[in-house]
Amino acid sequence: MSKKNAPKILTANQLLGGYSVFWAGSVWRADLEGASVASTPEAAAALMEKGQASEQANEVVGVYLVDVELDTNANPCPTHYREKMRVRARPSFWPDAADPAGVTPFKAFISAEAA
Amino acid sequence: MYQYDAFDARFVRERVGQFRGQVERRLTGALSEEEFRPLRLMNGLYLQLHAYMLRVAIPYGTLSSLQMRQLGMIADKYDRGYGHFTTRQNIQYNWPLLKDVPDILDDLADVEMHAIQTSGNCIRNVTADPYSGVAADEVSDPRPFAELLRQWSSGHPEFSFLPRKFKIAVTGAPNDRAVIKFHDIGLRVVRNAAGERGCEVWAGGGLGRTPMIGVKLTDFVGEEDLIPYVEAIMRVYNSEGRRDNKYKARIKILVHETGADEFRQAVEAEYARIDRSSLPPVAQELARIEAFFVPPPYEIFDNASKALEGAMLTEPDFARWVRVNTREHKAPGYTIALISLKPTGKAPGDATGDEMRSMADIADAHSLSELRVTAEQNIVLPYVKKHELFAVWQKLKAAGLASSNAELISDVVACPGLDYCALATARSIPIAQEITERFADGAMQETIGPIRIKISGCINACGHHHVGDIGILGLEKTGAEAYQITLGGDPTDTAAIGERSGPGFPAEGVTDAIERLIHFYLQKREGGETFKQTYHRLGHNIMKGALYAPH
Amino acid sequence: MPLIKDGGFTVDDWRVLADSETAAPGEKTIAPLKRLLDEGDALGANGVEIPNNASPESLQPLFDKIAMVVIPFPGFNDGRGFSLGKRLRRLGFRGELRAKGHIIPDQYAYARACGFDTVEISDALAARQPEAQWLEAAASMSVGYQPGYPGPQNILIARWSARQT
Repeated sequence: MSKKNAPKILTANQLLGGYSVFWAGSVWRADLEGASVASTPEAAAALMEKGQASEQANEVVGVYLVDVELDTNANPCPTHYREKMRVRARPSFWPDAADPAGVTPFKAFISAEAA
Repeated sequence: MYQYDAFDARFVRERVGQFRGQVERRLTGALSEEEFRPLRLMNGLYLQLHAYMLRVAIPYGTLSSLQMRQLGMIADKYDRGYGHFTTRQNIQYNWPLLKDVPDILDDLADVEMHAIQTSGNCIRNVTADPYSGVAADEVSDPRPFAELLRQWSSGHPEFSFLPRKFKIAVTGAPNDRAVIKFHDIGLRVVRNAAGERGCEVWAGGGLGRTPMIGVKLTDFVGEEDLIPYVEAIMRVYNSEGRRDNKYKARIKILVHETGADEFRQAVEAEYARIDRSSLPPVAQELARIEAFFVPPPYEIFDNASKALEGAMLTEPDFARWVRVNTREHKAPGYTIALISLKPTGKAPGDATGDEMRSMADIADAHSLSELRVTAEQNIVLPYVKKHELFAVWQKLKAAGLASSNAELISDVVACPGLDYCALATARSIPIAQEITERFADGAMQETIGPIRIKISGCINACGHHHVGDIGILGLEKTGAEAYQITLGGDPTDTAAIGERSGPGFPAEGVTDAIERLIHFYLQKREGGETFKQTYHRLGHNIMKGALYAPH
Repeated sequence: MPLIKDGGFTVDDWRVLADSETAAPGEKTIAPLKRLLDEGDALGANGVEIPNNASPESLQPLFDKIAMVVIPFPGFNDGRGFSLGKRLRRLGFRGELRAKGHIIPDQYAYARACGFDTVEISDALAARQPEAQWLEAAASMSVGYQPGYPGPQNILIARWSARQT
């Protein structure tokens, strides 16, 4: 359940690759590095507008806002377990360090379309 | 097995070209996401929690070694080196890129495969008994009927935008291994009193959020009349099925709300109106297809194999695998061997590209280059000579594929759950992993005997939890994963929907609860009772109590 | 509004009657089914728009009075119109059958196979999905499996014919 006053970040799936991405100021990234955090409902609406514009431009699909809490360094972390898993970008039973299938580990990337 | 003619090949290849064009139009924005979504779904492509997912059809679960190798190649070339075999005879790739999907579909078409109608509100991949053609109890191989329906339903102009998805399953045996009573349409190939072949037709079954057992529409429709009869069901459903609420749009709701008798009358009335003049003789087409499914020339063997018996005596692990993972074959001296994709601690139904190639090699050497895929997410070698079983087992063991747990407690069925799926409310795979670890001991598993544990990560029930002896449903409760347990489900002819046990469990409490229940069953069982028999003798209330720790 | 016929965009020579308007003799006009039934011959309309859940049998008596049946597609994923079109053709309706609303080029061949002659879409849709896309989509499949649905070459009939020779 989304809480009205919780800080929020913006997520979507990249259209071409399908990977989950997060809005970081002016680009979509595959991790939370520099993710834009909206602290007020107005800021959240503005964030959502950016996402919808990106959707209209056929860069991403399925834009939505995610409730987060901020750690001591003001880095956002989703509050819901589903979104925590999404940020981790792999099944929960895969270790953090590597991809057990032996293929390229996930890399943070900057979406070419948005750059 | 069936081989494409030039028409089938052209159909599949043109369909790939069509999808390639649709992807291009999506990228330019000519197709909106709303419009593209059903088109990509009808080509098997979902957008999931982390990435796209491509679901490839393995029609009626039959696969050649060549096709299995290609599936492995695709896993390595376009994905992350593995695929997931599903509960409906499909394989899913979890990480394809949209831009690669048309190429993947072309590679599939190279080996007469496709992803057509593995999703979307259309007639889905037609499934069948995984032991078709080799089961000792079979009346008629159901696969020619399934292939006839596969072709008839592919790209159907009238039935591609149904109220909701539509699943058909076919069995040709009195013992139902195709779950026909839980399908939108379930067919059983039978012979009538005059010896003519046809189908018993069930409709309106299904799992999902409103599980229902299907109703029998007719005891017999002749094979010549099967397509018109199915067409009549589809037309009534397409016209009358609810479209106001997606949760009430499946045919089971229509059958239930209309009443079985009235629904049957509507189907019969539509059936009587169907213009048969435009139909070429279906029996001829069926005969053409059937020629691809004639039994192979079996060699003549004694049913008992001395080589097999000898190896079983010297190798206890092999003996266990034979007891647990082989099934009775209709030809003497042959057996059906199950390759379990449920090794301890792994994701149920997953296989790596290497494992797929190993299975293909073994099928080439020992199973007439043919494999099958089961609704329990395992693989079948349908034509193994008993005296070659030891060699098969040694090769499987070397490939890490010799788990002896088919239909035992660690043969857990699980949907991908929240680890992959955008719809899921909880994880399934880690629960399955913990159960297989807890019950890893082979002797203990044999003592417990046959039992179905099925796990779904949300009420859509892709893990078929409603028909597990023990069903586990993952939900969200106050911001955490919670698991509801049902008991007494049954996918076979004695079809039953599992009953809820009581309060749910947190993730870390599920395996303990199951262990308590299993211990209780082992204490209370009489003679050689199975879990199911003990459950029915003692009743739901007594059995469910055992799930909960004493206060 | 743009009309697609035989694979190309064309000019519509039909018009929809306004709410209280009646048609002049010889004019090609479309009225809702309710008006046609309520006002009968006095209305003068020779085309009718029916709901997509209408009973095809109830329309049969009107067949010799009307030259056009319009079936709405409220959303492109609502496939009821396909079955209704098929049923009207089977009952012997030989006039123009029109699909109106949200239809996409990828459904055009299906609409024709179910008996539709024309597709009427909004200007916005036509701008986003211009004529070339309709032509291309219509030609994307040259073969089909379902007998009794005109359009691409029928595979079952082709196989059957091959066996006859």
